[in-house]
Parts: sequence; structure tokens; C-alpha cells
Amino acid sequence: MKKKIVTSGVDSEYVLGGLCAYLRRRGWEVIELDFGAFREPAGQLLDDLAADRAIYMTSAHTNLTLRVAGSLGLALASLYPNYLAPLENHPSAAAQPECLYPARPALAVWR
Amino acid sequence: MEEGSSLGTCLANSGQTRKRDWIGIVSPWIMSFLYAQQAAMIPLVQCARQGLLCLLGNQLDGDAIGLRRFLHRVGYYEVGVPADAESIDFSTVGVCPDGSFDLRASQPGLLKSDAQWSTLIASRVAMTIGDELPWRAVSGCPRFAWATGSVAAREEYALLTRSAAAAQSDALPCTLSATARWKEAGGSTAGLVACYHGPGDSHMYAAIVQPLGPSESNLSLWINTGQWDRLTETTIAEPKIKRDAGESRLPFWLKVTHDALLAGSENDTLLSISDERLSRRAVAGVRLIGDAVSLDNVSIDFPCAEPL
Repeated sequence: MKKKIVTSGVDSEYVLGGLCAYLRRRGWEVIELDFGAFREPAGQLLDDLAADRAIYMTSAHTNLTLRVAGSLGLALASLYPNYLAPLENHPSAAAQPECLYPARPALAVWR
Repeated sequence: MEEGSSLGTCLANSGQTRKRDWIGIVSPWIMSFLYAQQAAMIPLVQCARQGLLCLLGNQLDGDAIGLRRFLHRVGYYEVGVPADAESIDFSTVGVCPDGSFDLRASQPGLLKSDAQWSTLIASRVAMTIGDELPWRAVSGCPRFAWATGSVAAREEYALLTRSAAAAQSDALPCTLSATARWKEAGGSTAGLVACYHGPGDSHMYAAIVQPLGPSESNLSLWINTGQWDRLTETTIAEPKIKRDAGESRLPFWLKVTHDALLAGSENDTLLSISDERLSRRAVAGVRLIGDAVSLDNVSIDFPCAEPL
């Protein structure tokens, strides 16, 4: 079975496309969730991944969920109604992701 | 545990350094210790990969808001009360550096538990997503008593809203009802809010009950278009106001149609006025000022836009 990598971000804050192309060439199965382009609800997709061992990488603000954005008065919900922040991708978190790569600050946090 | 030591140090000394998905705290003494000494909490947060399960004695229940703010401040994204095996209720998310948080719940307010023990779950990842919990605290954090079904402000002012489900979107007429209860007039008010647009305490219609005494109350209709304007008002007395064991009770309702607002008590329409200034919107709620008046049995009826 191919190793799986799940990436996420939204529009201009999704900066992992080039890395994903490289990883595919190296034999990884890469699932990109750019919520600017991926307009469907991602819940089922993430549920399906929950049983797998996957690496999760994101260039999104880690805790900027639609709920937090709504409280801060940001229009994230109207622009991206199906957006899921890294903290909401917990079915894949249940798959024990090995890497969280936040874009800001540019630090890699390894478990 | 020795005085001055941290729980994290104790875990490390006992060889419990492997990260755990969840850590449960069942001792009220340890919970009080952690609450009092924030620094002692940090290693525990680092040890618990996903979150904390806290079984609390009721001595901490009196400071439910402070405890939640504390848990958010030390690194937990969401704090909730387990509703059943698979769902969370009375959920807060830490939002701002000033310690304010977003409250969502199945009922209007933050749960007041009358049980000897209560349970909180603090998680580093999201436990509820989207609009699973319909009530949202726009401002303030009133206390909801599950045993009586009543909501009362604990701060000077509170506003909670509830949005319609997708199938009910902006349907009319929207009808809200509740029962106001008070022992003393005290300058407090309790109201039902309709067509809420925001932001904050602005742009909505409201039917407000302001007790004037044990057997007398003012009922008024208001609009906020950036400032509050009273549209019409009346005074209500017995027998509409019921007295029982030193407590006064007034059932009242608010109805919004395409071009008018109506308010009344029981089967009687007491106030009626035409107003179309605010666009009709299926977001309604309650607005409370002061803690002398509470609302029971809050009900919001958004009719379905499409036939079921």
C-alpha cells in the first residue's frame, strides 16, 4: 500500500502544491485539500482516512476554524463554507499524523 | 505530591513520560491544585496528546467560566460537557487573548449543574464542528439551569442567538415565547430577540419585559438600527402576571411577520405595530440585562420554508 500524505490549506495560504507534486513523483499517495478549490464537504473523505496511517501537513492557521473566524468577525465561512482547520481534521489526527507543518511560523513540529 | 512540585515532574519521575491520548483527572484536590498553579498544568498538557477528561467536584462549578478560561489559556482548543457517548454540549472555544471565548450549546447559556459531580472535557482538537449546537453567546455568558430550564444573566448584559436550520431559512412568521420570572424588580430586563443581524448588540427587533413590581410589568417592542428605539409599550398586571411563593411569572411571546411585529401574553395580542426596516432573517434569541429576571422555557419556532 502506498504511503499516504494529506495536505490542507486555503487559496493563497495553500503553498504545498509544489511539494505535493514532488512527493507524488517519489511514490507517495498525496491527497490535497485546498479548500479554495475543493468545495465539497471533506468530512467523509477524512473519515475514510481515519483507519490509515497518514502524514498530515498544512499551511493553514492551525486554530483558525470557521467558529473562531466567526467570533473574530472574519468572513471565512461565507467564502469557504466547507473549510476545515487543522484542528478540525481530527479523523486524520486519529490516524496518528506524524508531521504538522504550519506555515506561520515556519516551523516543523515533529512528534 | 510534594508542595512546589509539578504534576509533570511527578509523571516524569514515575516513568509516565510517554504521551497519552487522554489524561483523566478524578481528584478534585489535583484539579484545584492545577487551577491554582497554572505553571503546573503545562507539562500535563504536553503529556496529554489530545486532551483532558476532568471529573470536577462542585466546588469548581461555581467558577465554571474561570475554569474554562484557564483551560483555554493553557492550550486547550475546546472545552465541553459530554452530552452522551459521542457528543459534546455547552462547548467553548478559546478565541481572544483577553480570555473571551465562543460559547455554543443546545440550550441558551452555560450549563449550571446541580449534581455533586460534573465532567468537563478539554481537547486540543475540535470536538464539535459547524452548527451542531444551535445556541451561540453573542455577548456575555448567562447561566442555564438544566433542572428548571431557566436562563439568567450572571453579568450585566447577555445576548444569545439561535439560527434556523437550513430547511427553515428566513421563513415567516417566526414566533418566540418564554416565561419571565422575578422576585424583585431590580431594574433588570429580559427579552426575546428576532431578525438579529448584529454585529454585537445591534440591528434586531426585541420584545422586552421590565418588571415594575411584584404584580406589574412593562412589555415593550424595540428596534435597534444602530441605536435603540422603542416602538410601542404597555403595562401588564395580574392576572396575566402570576404570583407564587414570592415569585412573579409572566408568559409572553413575540411574533414577526412580513410587515409587522406582534407581542402578547398567552392568547392575547397586547402590542402590534407595522415595521419593515430590518430585513427578515431567521436568527433569533434572548437578551438579558441584570440577574433579577430569568427566562424559562424559551421556545423559538421557525416554520419550515419547504413542505416536509
